[in-house]
Amino acid sequence: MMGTFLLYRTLQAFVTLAVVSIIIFLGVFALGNPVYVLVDPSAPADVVEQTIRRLGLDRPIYEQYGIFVTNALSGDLGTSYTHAQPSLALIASRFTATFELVLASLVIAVALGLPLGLIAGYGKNNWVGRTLSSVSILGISVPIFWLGLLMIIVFSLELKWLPTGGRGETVALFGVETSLLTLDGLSHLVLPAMALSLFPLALIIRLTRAGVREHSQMDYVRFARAMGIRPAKLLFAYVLRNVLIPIVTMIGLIFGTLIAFAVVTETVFAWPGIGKLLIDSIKVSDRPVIIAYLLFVVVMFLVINLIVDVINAALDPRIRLSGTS
Amino acid sequence: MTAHSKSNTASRVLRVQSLSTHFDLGFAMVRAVDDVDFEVERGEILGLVGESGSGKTVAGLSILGLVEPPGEIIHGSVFFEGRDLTRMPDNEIRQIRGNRISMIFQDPLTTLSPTMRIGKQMQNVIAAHHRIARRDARVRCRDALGKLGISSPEERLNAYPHELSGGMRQRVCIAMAMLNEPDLIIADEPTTALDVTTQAQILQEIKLLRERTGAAFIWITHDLAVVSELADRLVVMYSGQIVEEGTAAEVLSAPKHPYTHGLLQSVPAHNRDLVRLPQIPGFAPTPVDRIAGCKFGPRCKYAQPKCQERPGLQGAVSGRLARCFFPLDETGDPAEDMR
Ligand SMILES: Nc1ncnc2c1ncn2[C@@H]1O[C@H](COP(=O)(O)OP(=O)(O)O)[C@@H](O)[C@H]1O
Ligand SMILES: [Mg+2]
Repeated sequence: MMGTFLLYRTLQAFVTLAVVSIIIFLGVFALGNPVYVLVDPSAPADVVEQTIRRLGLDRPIYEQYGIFVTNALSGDLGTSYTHAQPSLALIASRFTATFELVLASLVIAVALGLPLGLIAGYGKNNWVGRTLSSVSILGISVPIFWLGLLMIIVFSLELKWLPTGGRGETVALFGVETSLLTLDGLSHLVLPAMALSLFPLALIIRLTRAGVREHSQMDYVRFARAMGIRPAKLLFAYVLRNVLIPIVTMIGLIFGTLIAFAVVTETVFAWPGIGKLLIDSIKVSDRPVIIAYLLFVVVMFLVINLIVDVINAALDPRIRLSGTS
Repeated sequence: MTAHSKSNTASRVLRVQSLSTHFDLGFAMVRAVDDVDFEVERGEILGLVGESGSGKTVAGLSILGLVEPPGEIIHGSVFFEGRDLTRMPDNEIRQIRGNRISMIFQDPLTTLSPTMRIGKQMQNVIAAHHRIARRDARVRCRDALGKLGISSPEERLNAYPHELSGGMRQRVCIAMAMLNEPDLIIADEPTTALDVTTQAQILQEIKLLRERTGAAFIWITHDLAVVSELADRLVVMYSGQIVEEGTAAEVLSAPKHPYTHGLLQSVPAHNRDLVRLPQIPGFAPTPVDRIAGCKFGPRCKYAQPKCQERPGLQGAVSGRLARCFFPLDETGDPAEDMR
């Protein structure tokens, strides 16, 4: 069953990618002719002409798309106009930094949010719950750049505990540069990860609390209590497991959102992530990078959704990994 | 106090005394259970009957301390083995629940955790009370399912609740409730949500189980046809109060309270010729309504001026009680002195 499920989802992913790539291609085309970003507009006409031909910008759009797809299928999403590097490699290298940041902040959010949400939701109307849920509203509404700057002022400039920004020392792991394995790298990661985690943390607390409160009223909990199940067992083995299902789905959604959100955090903490790359590329109409980025994000969402489905199916026996759902 | 009781302590499992459970809704006080007394004998099936909303479920939950806020036991005691359950610390009453006294509920579709295998849920019920090897626990669970007439119990243990039918799930719940061989099982309308065939099968299985294990039951239902098959004794509730009590045979053949009489009139078994069943006119008072006299008074066709006062539970014969100034005689007519 798992096999057919994965096959189905892979096929589905290809269809999605094909459709999205057309939309992206048209959209990026509408951004305008990038040639004047690359070549001084006052340059001689034959230089401009030459550049246009070199980039294939003189061909009709469907031909350009055809060339793009042919190259893409062999793993070549074009070469960045401005960085003179394959755009996919460029994105992959920058994406690691962002991925690390988002992952770290989600780990913080889950590690703190689930226990806090459980405490807040457990027991009727307890003051911990009320306090946490009002504080968590702050977490959802505080602007991240303001919080980030505040954290830099307090922890970096005043207390001098942590660096103000940058990624710090990295080491290669399976050919990917990571800062998770060096002390310096981790110390650079702490502040931006915490700033970025505030929103998902608040959301997870609220969702967990609401779930626990809702489930505590349910018949199966009452029955388990009537059977003398211990309170801790009831909370973790019965309630939590059922509450986790929507939370996993939300974490999946948030994951993608945070990648986009990260732009702000990356800017505040000078984190060399993908957000900055995208903004720069849009400014100079670096088409191959923009297109590669957007496709990359689509693939990422497809993968996240797949992971969410598989985890939820593992948590909830009523969900079946069928090709049709 | 049930002064009439012929039972001594040894033959008695449970004594509920002056129990009142109220829900403070802020704008109103719901007297869901209002000064209720009854006893359960060892091995007997006590039917607790009454229209929906009369306080049966809350009474059952109160016994095991399972009423949740805003509900609260504001008065009374529940004696089990000489100890008052209403004053027991949380961890001690937890050790009673599912072990010495169990409770099963109405809707088998929502009573089991949807994400845990049946076997695991059953084993947890044993593990909550006994230190026992997992393998032995599993054998006990399998046997418990077998005793309820569940075929291929080993496979069922690996099933998730949604893979079983409603009747099957209710059997699983009953098996779970009986796993630790409790002295008493409070069954809150366990067959109401099931089709008649399944209902009849389960009632049959309960009778067998009672004979085999000697467990007592409080069988809560609004369905008199069910208790007439099953119960030894009946307690009839109306608007949070007990209005009649007696052996099942006595109450069903010669009800003393006009409310019980009305309930019996509306049972299809008494009326096989497709005539429209007479219903008790009017509605049960919501528990927030304050009625000065007899709570059934406004709906009672025999109501007298005297009924503006509060009747107590009274009876000449021991164990045969009715909360009525003018109890009906054997022919179903009001007693002589009120006409
Ligand atoms: N959680 C609750 N909050 C407020 N009122 C409740 C609650 N549970 C039960 N009640 C009230 O208590 C009364 C008795 O309810 P219940 O015991 O469920 O009746 P029955 O089981 O006989 O149908 C009803 O009037 C009901 O509205
Ligand atoms: Mg009920």
